Amino acid sequence: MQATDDERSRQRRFENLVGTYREDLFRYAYWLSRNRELAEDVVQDALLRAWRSLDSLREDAAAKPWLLTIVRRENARFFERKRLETLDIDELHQAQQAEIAHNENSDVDDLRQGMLALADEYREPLALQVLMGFSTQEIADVMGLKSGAVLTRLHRARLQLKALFDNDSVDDD
Amino acid sequence: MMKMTYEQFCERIDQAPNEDFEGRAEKIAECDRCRAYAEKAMAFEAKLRAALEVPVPEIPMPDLSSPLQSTITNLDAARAERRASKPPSRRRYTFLALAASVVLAAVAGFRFLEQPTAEFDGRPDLVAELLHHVDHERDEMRVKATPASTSTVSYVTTTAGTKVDEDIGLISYARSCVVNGNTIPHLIVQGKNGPITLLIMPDEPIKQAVPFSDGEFHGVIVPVGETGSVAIIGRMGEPLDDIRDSIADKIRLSI
Repeated sequence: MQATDDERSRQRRFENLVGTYREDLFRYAYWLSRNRELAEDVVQDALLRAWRSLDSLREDAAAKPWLLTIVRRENARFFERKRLETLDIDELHQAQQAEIAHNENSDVDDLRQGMLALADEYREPLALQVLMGFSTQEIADVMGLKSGAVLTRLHRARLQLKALFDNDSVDDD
Repeated sequence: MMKMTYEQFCERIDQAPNEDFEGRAEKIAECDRCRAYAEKAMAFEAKLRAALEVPVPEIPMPDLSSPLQSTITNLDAARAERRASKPPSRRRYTFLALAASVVLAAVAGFRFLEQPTAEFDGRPDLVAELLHHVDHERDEMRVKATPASTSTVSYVTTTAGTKVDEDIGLISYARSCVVNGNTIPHLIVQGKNGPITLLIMPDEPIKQAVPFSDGEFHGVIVPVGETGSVAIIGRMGEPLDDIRDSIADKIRLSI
């Protein structure tokens, strides 16, 4: 009976964590993979791995970076396992345009397209910073980079996005 | 310590607009261009965040009670099935759209003989697009007991300027979709026998209800408000009368 109660308690803990971070996990996976279907698969696989290693998570306060790291690894495994072809950006834009939500604000749509076109090395730190609220150091920890490299990537990422629809915003000097 | 230049300030802002750094407050206080750049950067951040917050689908929780390997096998099987059902879809919905267009064009032709063109409200192009869309997302047309999250439903409906009453029933799926060039809420509610798709079109006015079918799906477009309509679509045999009669009271446009 004790074992069953422990298992239920473990399951409740897991479901609470997943409920809290489900949206974050999917969006992170989406901006990593740039594909909704793949992102769903990656999140499902990541949840399985997280469930299996839940006992290694000492404090629930650390759950978010822990889960995101699992998603990141799972995404890398997924691409390696499936040996997915390099995505064609033009085709991707057309496909994703129909898949992701469109916003009445055309700037938001432009930014989504811009994000899809950004190189992985720029897109990921931006998603971690803007969506997940991670500090520069936290991004550096997740990506295995130095803080300076993270800041450089963030700066370049924003310059590229701003150049999409506001060329003078970065040349105001 | 050397004073920060305008260019250095802008670079720091673009690296982490929400993080404080040494000299930020002073620079904003003393430099108009810096202040303007910071304000513009914060407005950009708000848009960027909105762009990154893509709608989140329902992601089924894996079966935690089964052994890991069997759960993975089940997931892989479900995915293989899902993908296998998709590829022919483009050809199929192209055919369906074409067939629906032909049937409705024929009906339109007969009606054209009876009434002025301006009064004809059959919208064969729109019906074809609706059938095309439902076919494209046919995987989501399934019986489900778990509701879509309220935040997703809210996001999807409010971004289109619409609102759906809670008593519309269990909404198991919500996504923003492009139909006929407009971004609209695509909802799935659970009907008597199976799922029913609702495509809320705030900018597609029609004068009267337009029933349609393609042999697999049947539906009706009904007017909602003064400027819009909603398409109600289910598999053949699924009763749509109840929802057709009550839908106009449960959807609000222009919130």
